[in-house]
Amino acid sequence: MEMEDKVQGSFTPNGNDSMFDLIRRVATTESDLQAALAGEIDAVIDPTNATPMLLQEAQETLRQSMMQYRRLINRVGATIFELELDGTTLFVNPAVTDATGYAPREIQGHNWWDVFTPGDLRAYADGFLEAVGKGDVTSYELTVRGKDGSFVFWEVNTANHYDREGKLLRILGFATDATRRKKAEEANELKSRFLAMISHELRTPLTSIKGFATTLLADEAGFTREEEHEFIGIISEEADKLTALIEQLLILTRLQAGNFKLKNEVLSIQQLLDVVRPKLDELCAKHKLSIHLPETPINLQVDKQRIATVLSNLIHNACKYSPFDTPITVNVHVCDGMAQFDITDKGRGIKPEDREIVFEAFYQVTKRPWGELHGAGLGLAICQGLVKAHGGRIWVQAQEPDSKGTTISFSLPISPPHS
Amino acid sequence: MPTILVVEDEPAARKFIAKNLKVRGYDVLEAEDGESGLQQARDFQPAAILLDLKLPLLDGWEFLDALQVDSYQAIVVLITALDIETDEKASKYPQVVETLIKPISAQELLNIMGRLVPIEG
Repeated sequence: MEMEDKVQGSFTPNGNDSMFDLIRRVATTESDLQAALAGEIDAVIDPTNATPMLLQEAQETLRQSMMQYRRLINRVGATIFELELDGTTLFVNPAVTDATGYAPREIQGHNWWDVFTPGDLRAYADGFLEAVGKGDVTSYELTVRGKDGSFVFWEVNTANHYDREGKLLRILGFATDATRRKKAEEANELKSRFLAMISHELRTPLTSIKGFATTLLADEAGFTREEEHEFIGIISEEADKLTALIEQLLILTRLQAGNFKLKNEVLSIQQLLDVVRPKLDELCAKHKLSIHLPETPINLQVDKQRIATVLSNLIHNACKYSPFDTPITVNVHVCDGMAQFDITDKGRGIKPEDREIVFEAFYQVTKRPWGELHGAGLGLAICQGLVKAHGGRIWVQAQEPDSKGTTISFSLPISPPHS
Repeated sequence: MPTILVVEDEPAARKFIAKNLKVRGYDVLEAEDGESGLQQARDFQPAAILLDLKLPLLDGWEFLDALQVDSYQAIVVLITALDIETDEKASKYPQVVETLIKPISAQELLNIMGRLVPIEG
């Protein structure tokens, strides 16, 4: 009785138990009843066993039941699909459109895997098929490609069709969109790394501050006056580093929230460089800095302090990753109606696959958790935010595979001469 | 005088440790990355090694792995800002006798080193 109640509950959501009534009446033996409750309805409705009226009733009930299922399948949020073993799509419900952008008619009759796992995604299909070959899968994470080319992360369960010997006949799958969950997980992971990174970055200057402060407090140590002075100097420098880091975090937060205020003014590129030149020369003390400007003067409408920050961050990076005495050049020219700044160094370069993500905050964390870290990895994220706030863009130039060094470019809108 | 090797990439932190140990009478060797630290450990066989975990070229764990294959047995004190999972991982290395969590005070440093490597012995 317990089992029957359970099955009824799931099969007849409106409390209509006629289906089970019927099954009980046509099922003549206990084993038939069990089979019926297990879902093998076809097996128990035996025409030789039933009166015409009962058969008619059975047909009608089945028809209604079919329609009820069809409505359910058409409205359910999960993608439900039925595939031949060769991938031919026998059926897919309309939910597939929300999930992937494809209409059912674009998929039905076509090879499911050709549609969803083209090219290098084929391995995902193979992994799934291998798992299904061993039996029904539960919560299988399958990555497919939507119609617009974006990735869709599916969580798939299957209730496959098998023959009486247990051989797989067709795949019946239910896929729920796990993209949002996956993104949330990634964001969470990034947040954890961010916190780990920040606590490390804050702790590093604190280590020196605490260390030297306690050194000075231990009065029996016997350091010279000069040494004591040096220790106080280090405490002050490390406190400055903490301040700079907090400042960077605040700028980045404001940029990301979109409420960063710029103090724009119209000035020529020459005037802008006059502001930033002393800082750049200081940064390039051990490198050879050269700056090339266009012959005709160009005016920009910018917050000069912020663009100065962008330039000094980029030059600082260029110096950090380049051997001493190598050239660092800033080349300013007009390109597509924008003023373009190219900053080129002869350093270790940026891998092609990293060209986009170097601008993500804490990119260094995701790339090299314990490796060579230089700073908190906020510099380029801040540059990108500031350039974008000015209506420009910033990017890493593509390069010949063997050439050394990096060129990072950013562009800013040119201001009309008489504004 | 007993020799202590300090492997720490942050110049200010390294200086703080080295200065305090020197003024108490230890001979101090300094390394700013794992690779040169390992070289100095092998060349000079110091009585103890103060080891940062986050290091360029060869990190602290790789340093310990490399040291384990050597016949030379050093006392290692970890200095780390990373407290998560460190203890569990460190327990696999018999050379590691202490873990100091940054920021550390001069007293903390000197108490531990004084206990592990007494100057007058």
